[in-house]
Amino acid sequence: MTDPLCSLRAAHEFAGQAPEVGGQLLELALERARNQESGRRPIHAFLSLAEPPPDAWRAASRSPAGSPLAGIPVAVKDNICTLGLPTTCGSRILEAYVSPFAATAVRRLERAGAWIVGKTNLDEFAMGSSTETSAYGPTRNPVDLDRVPGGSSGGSAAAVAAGVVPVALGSSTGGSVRQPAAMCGVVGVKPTYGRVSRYGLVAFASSLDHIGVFARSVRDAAHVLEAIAGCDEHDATSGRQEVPRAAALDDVDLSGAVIGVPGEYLGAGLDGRSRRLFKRAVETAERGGARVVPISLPTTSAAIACYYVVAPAEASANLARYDGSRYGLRSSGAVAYSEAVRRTRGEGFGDEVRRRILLGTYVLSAGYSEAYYRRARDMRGAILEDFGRAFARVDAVFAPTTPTHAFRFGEKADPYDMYRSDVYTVAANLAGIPAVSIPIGNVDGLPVGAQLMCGRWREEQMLGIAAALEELLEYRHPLTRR
Amino acid sequence: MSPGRRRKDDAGRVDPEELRHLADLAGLELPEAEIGRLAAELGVVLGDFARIEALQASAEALHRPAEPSPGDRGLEPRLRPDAVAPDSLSGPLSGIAPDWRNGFFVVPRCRVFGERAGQGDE
Repeated sequence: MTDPLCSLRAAHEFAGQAPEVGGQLLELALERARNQESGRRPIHAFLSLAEPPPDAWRAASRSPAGSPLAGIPVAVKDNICTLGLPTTCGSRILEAYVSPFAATAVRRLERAGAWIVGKTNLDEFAMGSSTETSAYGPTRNPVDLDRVPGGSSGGSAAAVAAGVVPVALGSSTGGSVRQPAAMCGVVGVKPTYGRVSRYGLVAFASSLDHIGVFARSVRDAAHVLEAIAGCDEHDATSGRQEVPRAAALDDVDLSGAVIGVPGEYLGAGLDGRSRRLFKRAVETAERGGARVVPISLPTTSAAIACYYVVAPAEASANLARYDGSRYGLRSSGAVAYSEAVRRTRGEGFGDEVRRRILLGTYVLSAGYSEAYYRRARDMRGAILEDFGRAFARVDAVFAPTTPTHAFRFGEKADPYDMYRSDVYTVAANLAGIPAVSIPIGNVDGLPVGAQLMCGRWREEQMLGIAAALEELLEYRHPLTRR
Repeated sequence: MSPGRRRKDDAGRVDPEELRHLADLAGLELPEAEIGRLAAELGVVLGDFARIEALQASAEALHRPAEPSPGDRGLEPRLRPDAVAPDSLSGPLSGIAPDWRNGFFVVPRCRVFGERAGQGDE
């Protein structure tokens, strides 16, 4: 029998027409989540789990008829606010904090009939690329427990890869959905900036933050995106554009699609075996009818430097609110208010968050903002123009998602080495364009991903090309039983 | 950190004294033992920013004017000095109260609880 939690279709086949099975799916997901949290080497994908009401199936039966998410268990990254479960952002400073409101994306999922199984682990305040900076311990990659799942949404990627849930929400500021998706062998979608409301997503860098989706297939991700997308009065940056329809992915193929491959993404930093897999994926796209052309995105080499000015600058302002007076941790023993603030923040924030706050404070300070922040802002405009010129020639840009497959714990102890993990993903965040990572093969049993990027608001086109390519690639996940 | 313009030869260099000042501005208590390491790490990230400077030298790569366009003049952000603002809560509370009697804040009376009960405006 097909695993009922491997896809939305399998879950619905399992459920059949009986409404009580919705509750059973939730129980099954919770049982798997508890199992993977126990044992000698837990995956540790979750920071908290829901307590289902005893009559969960009755509530499931009230799900909207025909909704593809009715009764589906979903995991949510722990920087997205939920009612009734803590939202810690993986930080001591928000330990046990419970939001008084739920994020719009969460409310929309629940309105579509989905169940929130629990909150998933992340790098502290989503600052990291391995989930190692979580104050509550790292998440292991389910494919190889000695390796990281990527980050910062490593818990959500691991929960989907381990078969605990068929779909999950994550967030992306510089690649935190596509990078862990690639490392765990699942699909990760970062929509256009403004496509999904950020209301209830704890702010890291507001002009770069996105809520994204993890799934085992492009089609399942499209169903979740359709449910959570759309304008929201609580987020002035959310767009009024028509929501991308999952049904648009029916009967897609690659004939006529023009796909650009930027040479800058295939440089010396790319692992040789990943390069061969990517080349094979390009050949597969061509066999499927796509016309693949070489393109150039000359600003690519500056994207990481630009990102590590813009993102810390915004983070240093956004995280100023954690002063011990309103949320979570408050250091004891201080006499003056300012001393209490310094102590609380010194004790509550981990190393990576402190590093980025200091970096942001530096690049925004009066003597340096012109040299750093203004230049980075201008470079961000140049990156956007680069993509604009590319999309005048091609329908989609196709490139590797990460330079290497999942690395071992502690392997990237130098912060700058870690920052380079996002070298291929940050540009799409800076430009605000949609991007999706799909698995294209395995190297030594470890998944490798490639990403498709399209013009703003063109998710239907992007996911259509991704779904068609996914079908042709016939990827087999390392944990799939034969 | 002096609020002057950054010199070319300063690129990517953060000295421990600057880092202490940044920590003050950011309201972060840092163990003294971490100051040197953090200063060096920040220096590496900032040093990479030279890539942007190199690209900016290329007119092909960057299409934006370095100077504000005529329409933007006067709209450039004005930055406050890099100084820690005085802590308004470090003095006696009476100092920030609109009025203060016998250890209590005195504020204008708005309405008595229950006066408009059932009116549905709050």
